[in-house]
Order: sequence, then C-alpha cells, then structure tokens
Amino acid sequence: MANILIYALHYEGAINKNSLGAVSEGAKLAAELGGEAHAILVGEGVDQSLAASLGNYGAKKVLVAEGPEGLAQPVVDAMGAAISNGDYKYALFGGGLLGFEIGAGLAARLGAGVAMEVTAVRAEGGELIAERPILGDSAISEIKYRSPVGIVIGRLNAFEIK
Amino acid sequence: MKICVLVKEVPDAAVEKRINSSTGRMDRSGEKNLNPYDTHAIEAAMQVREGGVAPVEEIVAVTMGPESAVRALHKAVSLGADRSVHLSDEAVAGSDVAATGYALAQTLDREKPDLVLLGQQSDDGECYTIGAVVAEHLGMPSLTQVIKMDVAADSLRCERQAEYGYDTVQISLPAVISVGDAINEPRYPSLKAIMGAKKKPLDTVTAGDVGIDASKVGGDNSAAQWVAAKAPPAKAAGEIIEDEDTAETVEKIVSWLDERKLI
Repeated sequence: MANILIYALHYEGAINKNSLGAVSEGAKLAAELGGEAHAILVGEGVDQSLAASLGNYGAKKVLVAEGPEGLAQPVVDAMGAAISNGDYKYALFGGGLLGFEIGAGLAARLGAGVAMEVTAVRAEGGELIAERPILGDSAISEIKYRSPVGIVIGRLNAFEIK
Repeated sequence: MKICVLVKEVPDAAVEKRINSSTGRMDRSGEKNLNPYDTHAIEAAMQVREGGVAPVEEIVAVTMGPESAVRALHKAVSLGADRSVHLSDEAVAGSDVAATGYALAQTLDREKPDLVLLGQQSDDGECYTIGAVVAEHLGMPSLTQVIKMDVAADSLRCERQAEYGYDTVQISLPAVISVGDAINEPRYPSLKAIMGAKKKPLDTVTAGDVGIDASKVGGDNSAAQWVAAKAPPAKAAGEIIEDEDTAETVEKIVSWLDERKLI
C-alpha cells in the first residue's frame, strides 16, 4: 500500500499550521494512491488529545514517539524506524527549518530521493510527482522518485489546511 | 581543531540562470563565482580561529564540481582557508542532493574534521539540505541556518531562528553546521591573499580516491529524478483597495486576509 507518513511539528500544545496543511495534503494524496495518511509526533509526554486531533485533518493513524523537541535527529530516528518497519512509500513535511533538516537526514538514512521547496504534488500512475520552483521561481521543476521511499519537503504555507 | 568548509561554484549573480532542457541540469556556461552564502561559512571559520577559544590547526575548503570549480577554491583560500580539496569526477556529475551529500561526506571523512561549516544554501540549487545529508552520512549532529555560534573546546553553542521562535542549542563536536547569512559580514580578501591563493595546496581527488560507491552517485543513479521543467503559472492581478474611508478600508483588508487564512 502506498501509505504516506507526515511529520507534525508541535509547540506549546498546538500543532504547527504548516504541519496541518501537510497532513491535509498527505491525506488527499494517499487517497489518490489508494493508501492511508499517517502522522507522527515526537516530543516529551505528547498529549494524546493533541495527537488524536490530527484525525480531523485526514490522518488515519497517529504515531507518537518519545524524544526531545526542537531537534531533527530524534525525529529522523523515529521516522526512519517507522518507515523501515511499516509500509510507507512517501514521507511528507510541511517545510520550515526542522522539516528541511529532518527530511534531508531521513533521505540520507534511507537512501531516499528528496525534493524540497515543493509547492505542489500530484499522484500520477500510482506515484507522486513533486513540483518545485527553481531559478528564483522563474521555472518549475517536476521531480519523481526512483527509490522505494520518496521524501517531499514543502515550501512554507504551500499546502492548504482542509 | 580542524575545520572543513564546504564551498560551491555557482553561476555568477549577473548571469541569467536557465535549465538545459535535454539534461534537466542547470546550464553552467558563462561566468561563475564562489557561492556567496559560503563566504559566510569561511568567515565563521576565520572568526573561530581568531577567537582563540579553541585552537584551529587548519581550515580546509572542500568542493565537488568540474575543473572550473578550482576558481571557487582559490577564492575560498584567498578568504582564509589554508588549503583545499577538489572532488572532480565525471561519475558524480548530475548527482541529486542526496547523492551529492553522500559524495561530499566521503570526501570529508578522509579529512576527519572536528567541525564542518557550509552556507545555508547555494545560490543556484536553493536546497538548504546538503548539511543535514552530509551530517547523517558522517554520523555527526547538525544544525542549519545558525546565526550565532560560540565555540568551546569540544562543543558549540548555536542560535538560530525556527518557525516557533529563537532556538539556542548546545551541540557536541564533531558537528556539521550550516550558517545563515546574518551570522557575520564576510571580509574582503587582500590583494596579497588573492595573489597567493594559487600557491596554496590543492588536492584533487576522484570518486575512487575517497571510496565513493559509483552506483550511488551521478544523474542516472540519483534517487530523485528530474522529469520536466515548465513555466510557472501566471500570477493573478492584484486587488486594489481605494482608501476613501479608512475604517472601511481596514475592514476590507482584514476581511481579505481572513479569507485567505493569513490572520
């Protein structure tokens, strides 16, 4: 199954807006691929109701991992383990400083392709194609993945909350 | 302490950047220069050396690129690096971010640095991610977009702006740090440094020299595959709100922002 794992950044008891957009986008894309969108939260004593709230944005399952907040490596560890043990074809990030750090680290960990600053993603022929503006936004490059797992790092505010 | 600074040759700011439609790679003809963001990383290395808290034995500029990238290394040396390493091999040409990070990590591993510095992004690729890829391959902790860096004997205290506010992070060495352009004001090289740059040691290495697995690099072996490039959609015309009644105008602006979930 073409499931998508989405990182949800949280801070002071609330989910970051970009992450909510990413979960919404991941849910839409997973449905188009015939899979499910799962979200992952990493933190110290993450509130279960906060995790459950991601269901409102389309997450079918929410994984919660214990670890220090605000650092990329604990999230790379948690997402790397989840992807290695699970059935995920893509990992999706809403952007932001941590999203870039985690997505890049995860790409290196998994030998996965990564597209960053992505402003649109579409499902085509059972796979995702990411679009990213290049050359000072004067052109848009389309990227797909040869690796078993593809990493999509969105540009800030690129994905609409639904 | 040994500091390696990752640098890149990029098209000069005055050159119109375009994609070669047959390869999907950037057209790199025309004037080139050292990536301006990397000059902040070299300056950060120089300030660590001059700060004297942790003795710096050597600053090494490292790049991957075609033969012409030597000029970027010369500029890096003129700005303060003691010597440079150039990974130049057709096998790595066209590598995506993940493959480039792997190749650079292999090159750095031979140097055994205590600290790897790089600019927050390249002026051409605008990826912001190479540092984290390199760090993962080297098994080092990393931080990106650092705007303040205080050095201790075996650690760094770094500040950066995240989406939720300012972070202060203590990170143990060895580590990989990408610096934001707000961290410092790069110095200008002296005429003597420019003239002497070509005389400083330059080590040119191939993929085989640094143990790169050829099946993991190059355009055909990269996990991210360029499919096509297209023009961006035309921007919608802006909406002009005439200020005839300020209270009403403010209400219209707030309503406009609210509709787009911007407030």
